[in-house]
Amino acid sequence: MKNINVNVDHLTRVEGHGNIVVNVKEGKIEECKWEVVEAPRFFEAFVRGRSYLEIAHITSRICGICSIGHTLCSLQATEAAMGVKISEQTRLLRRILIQGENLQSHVLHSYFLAAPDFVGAPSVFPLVQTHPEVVVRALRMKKLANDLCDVFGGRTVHPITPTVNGFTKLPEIKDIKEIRRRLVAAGPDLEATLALFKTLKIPDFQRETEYISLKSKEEYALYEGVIASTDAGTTPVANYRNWTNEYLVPQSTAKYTKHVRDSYMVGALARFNNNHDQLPARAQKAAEELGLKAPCYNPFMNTVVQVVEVVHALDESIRLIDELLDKGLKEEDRRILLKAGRGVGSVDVPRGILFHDYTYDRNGICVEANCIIPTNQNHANIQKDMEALLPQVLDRPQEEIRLSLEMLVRAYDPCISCSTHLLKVEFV
Amino acid sequence: MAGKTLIIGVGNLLLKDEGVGVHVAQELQKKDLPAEVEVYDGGVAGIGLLDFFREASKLVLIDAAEMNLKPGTVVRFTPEKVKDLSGGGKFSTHDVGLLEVLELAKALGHCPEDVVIIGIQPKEISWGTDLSPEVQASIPQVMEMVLKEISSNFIATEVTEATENNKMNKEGETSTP
Repeated sequence: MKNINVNVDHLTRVEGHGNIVVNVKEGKIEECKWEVVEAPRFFEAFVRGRSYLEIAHITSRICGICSIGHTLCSLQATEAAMGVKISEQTRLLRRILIQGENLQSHVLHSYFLAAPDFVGAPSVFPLVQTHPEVVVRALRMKKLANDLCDVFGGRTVHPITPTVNGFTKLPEIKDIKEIRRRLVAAGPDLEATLALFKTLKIPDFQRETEYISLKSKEEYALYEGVIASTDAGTTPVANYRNWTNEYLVPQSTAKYTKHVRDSYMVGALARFNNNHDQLPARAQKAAEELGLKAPCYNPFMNTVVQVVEVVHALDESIRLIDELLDKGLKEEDRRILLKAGRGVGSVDVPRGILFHDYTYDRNGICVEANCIIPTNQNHANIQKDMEALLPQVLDRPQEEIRLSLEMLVRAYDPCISCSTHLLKVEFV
Repeated sequence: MAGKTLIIGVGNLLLKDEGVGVHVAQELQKKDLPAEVEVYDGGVAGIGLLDFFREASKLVLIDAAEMNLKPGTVVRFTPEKVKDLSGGGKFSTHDVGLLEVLELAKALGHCPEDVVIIGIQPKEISWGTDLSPEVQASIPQVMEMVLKEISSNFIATEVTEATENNKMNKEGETSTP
């Protein structure tokens, strides 16, 4: 019987820090743990005492990758608290922005963070030598997504123009038309992306869990909807606390969540399992080509769903842009009546469903706030997956076991800190 | 003929001293700089910065750097002069730190020839939006160093003074031989 000792400190290619600890003695699993070592965030401390106009800008700084999602979710919560009903134009612009962010984030994750695993490379760096065209294509697609966000959000990261009840500056029609042209021209890159991900071997592993995402009558939900579960139907977003049930565990400084089962999953795969029939034709076809069928219980397939959502993001942005160009853009009255109250916002951001919850006094000053990020909702599910996966790979060499577990965690595209990137240097 | 000089301040504004690069970028954006100089608040953009690198002939990066020095100490260095201890060739977009993005840019041939990093030793990296007094006090020095980088690139000796006083004719700043 063998002994296995896997101890991955600070898993790489994951945003932030997480550890994997596995201990097997004479074939018996003694320890199998997903530890999150990031310091807890003090979300409320940042926003309490701030004006309703500042809060979205502050929360957009939580993360460099989900900054649009945080901004939009924050605005939704503020608008819900004040009883503001946004215009169709604002809604349309925001829906384009969230597609832009999905494109940005998924290209980054599938190409730079996940793909190296599937081709057996330690990181994207060797790929620059061995597959330069792949890296260049990924960067080209990333730039397209960045520019899309720039046109509609005023910046590529930490958007600046979206504000309560509208936009401080509307995009220029000529810029919209140019980005539309480039989105259309990205067709061949999209085909090449599908061809690449078709060749990747996804580990065969199944564990059914509860899948939670937004759901909308109108479309494959990202920007808005009700909370939907594969186990429990739907509920309004204002009821999020009863569905997330945050709790503390000894191995983590992040809060865990659970609903019907011991754990649930959020993210691209959860969206797909809840809303796959709302994907338009080209994304459906991509899913089929990539061997994806709902319901899918293989967490490794999350990356594959992200690729499907890349197809969707491109098509959907073009469709929404056409709708916008058709209706025309006009300056709108953004004034609102301040009132005291509480509001909850929810956006299905690249990594899964996100909640912001604010209470304001009658002067528009935030007095209470809460935020539940997607990654925290996935921690318990990662732990359960690891416990199920480990016995299945126990007969393999230790290195392979380590890699399997690392790949599993990375498939969730977790964002554990969304924060630190401090340069640590030593002079030579 | 010099191309574009790009000044990017990076960091997380919500982590006290970690955000010093962004604080400096926001200060610089208020100044009247030569037309060939662009200032960007990079936030926690990570690999998104690559696109900007490509457009520049000179790059000045401002970031908090753990150098085991007295808090608030400012050091100007080039990427070759340091050993990166944050990722060691591994890759994650935040942890990357700038050095890995630079490495990737170089591998792709997108990296400007002239790259300068201005590192500021932080005191406190914890949740909060204020800088520590030591790091706050270092900002004028950082600004001065950045402006010196610009002037050495554009041979505009009066830039520092001119930018402090934006009444000065913009043409005059950039074309001074």
